[in-house]
Amino acid sequence: MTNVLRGDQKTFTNVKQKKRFWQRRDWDDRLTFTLMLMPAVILILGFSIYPLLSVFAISFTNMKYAIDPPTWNGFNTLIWALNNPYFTDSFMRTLAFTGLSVLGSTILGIFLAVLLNQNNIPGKDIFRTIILYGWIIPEVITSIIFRFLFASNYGLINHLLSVLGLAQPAWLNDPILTPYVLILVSIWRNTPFNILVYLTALQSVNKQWYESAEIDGANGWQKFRYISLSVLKPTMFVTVLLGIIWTSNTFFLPFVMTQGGPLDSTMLWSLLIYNTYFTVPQQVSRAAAMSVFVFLLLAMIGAFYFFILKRTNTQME
Amino acid sequence: MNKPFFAQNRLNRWFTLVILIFLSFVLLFPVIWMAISSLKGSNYYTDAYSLIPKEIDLESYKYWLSVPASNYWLAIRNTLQSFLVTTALTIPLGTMAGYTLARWRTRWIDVFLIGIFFLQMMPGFVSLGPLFREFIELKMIGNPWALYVVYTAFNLPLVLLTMRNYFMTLPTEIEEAAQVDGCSRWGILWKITFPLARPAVITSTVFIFMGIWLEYLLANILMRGKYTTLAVILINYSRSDNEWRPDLLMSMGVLIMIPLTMLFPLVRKYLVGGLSAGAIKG
Repeated sequence: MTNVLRGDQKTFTNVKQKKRFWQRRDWDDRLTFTLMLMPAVILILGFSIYPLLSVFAISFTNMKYAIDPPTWNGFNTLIWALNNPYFTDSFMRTLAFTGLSVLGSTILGIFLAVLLNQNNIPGKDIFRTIILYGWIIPEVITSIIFRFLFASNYGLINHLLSVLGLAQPAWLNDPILTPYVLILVSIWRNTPFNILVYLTALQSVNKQWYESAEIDGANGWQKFRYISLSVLKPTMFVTVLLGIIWTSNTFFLPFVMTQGGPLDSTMLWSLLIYNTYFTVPQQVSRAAAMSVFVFLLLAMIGAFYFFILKRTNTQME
Repeated sequence: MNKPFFAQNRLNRWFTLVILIFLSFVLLFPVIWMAISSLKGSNYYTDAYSLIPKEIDLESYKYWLSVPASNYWLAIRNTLQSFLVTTALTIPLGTMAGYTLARWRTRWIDVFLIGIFFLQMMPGFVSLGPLFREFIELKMIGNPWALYVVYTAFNLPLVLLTMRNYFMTLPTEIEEAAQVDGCSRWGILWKITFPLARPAVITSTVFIFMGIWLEYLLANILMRGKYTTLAVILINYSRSDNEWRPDLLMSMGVLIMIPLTMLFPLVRKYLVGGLSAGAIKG
């Protein structure tokens, strides 16, 4: 997205300098452009935007099944969602899950990127490749493997603990412990991306800055704090927000590993909405009402992100 | 010189190395363990924890690959087919839209881009119910074209952004020269600009593949019976508690990871540069 905005401005300045051929009132060209944009616009309108808008419409109705004729229900379903502890708990749970997971993967990501950015690491490319491979493992596969590793019967982790003579907790069957297991797996999943992004950003640091800071008597912490961290700040802003968006959409970890249990302790909003839409008894309107709140929160985050990004871009000009 | 504060002393090189090796272990071990477990086959319950299987048994692979026992091959065919059809639709449409967004200057382009940005942020499960309803009304549930069309619509934003970003970096002088020579806009795009955009096409194709290969939510609600895809088989099997055989699950995981691993060199080459560029949806 950064590139998109930056790209915009580059062309924009070009436009001022010189009138390019597509700026002339060339109706033929406009027609071609419009026709070329149309198929994409129609598909996106029909199968992405229309269903999203339907979510709002359906949240004002009283539908049980997807095929029910819509009957007007005013704000009742939306109010029901706000007053339903099942939904509000899940909402807060998702926020906590997202916060802890993003915090953990950001700290780990920066720490490991700084380590990897040193000059004298042998086999740097091998480590980078391994991290990149960790990034492409799909969420589904991650969930399946970790469900298997943490299993109570024949799970490797509990076997190792028993060999060491330690207690063997029911990792995936303990309402207090299980959410943290899922957060841990989520951190495992997000960290490779974080390392790669921060490493790319750190590589833009001019090595001479560190040298001159050293001459001025800066210690290691000061160099990290005032050089590395201030270089990473814009990247961090974008990456943390991407992390929030991605992590709050986590679906397969609870869906495959715990199915929302035990005692709904891992019922994230994604799973709750999915279940309300599709498992019997279906409550399509209620699911839509819950979706509206998720939608509004994400839209607010997006608007904030967009606003800051735009402001930073204008400042840079 | 460029040492972090927590690795200052003489030991820092070893300290770093140990941490990085540990990290690699933590990242790779689960996948390796999956591969090891899948080789244990029916001996799984007697030999659950050994790092090297006492006896290599490919029985669980045979289970998936033998046609009568499962719909594995059918599912692979369906998944690949949906990937091919989606790519064949998305790349031309995304190229056309991306080119327009890169070259046409009106304020509507900005509106369009902001719209795409917000659209990409919204999670898929939010509109799953209305989408299901839409396809019931279109009477297309169970029709593979429903899946192809939805996949195309869902992949288009990312593809057109990728194509646009790439077109923005191409110089316009060649296009102007072609225009002077009397080439139409349509001709310029397909004869001159599109052949130059190969890296962007490859990047987009990899994005599409990674998005579709394990797509579950849409395939699960829109497809029925003989049109089931790979992810649906895998996940529905992994969620069934009664006869949960770890070796079967793990071998399915390996079979699914093989194409992704084969694509990995491409990912390394093309995706790393644009790591944070266009990828918004996870």
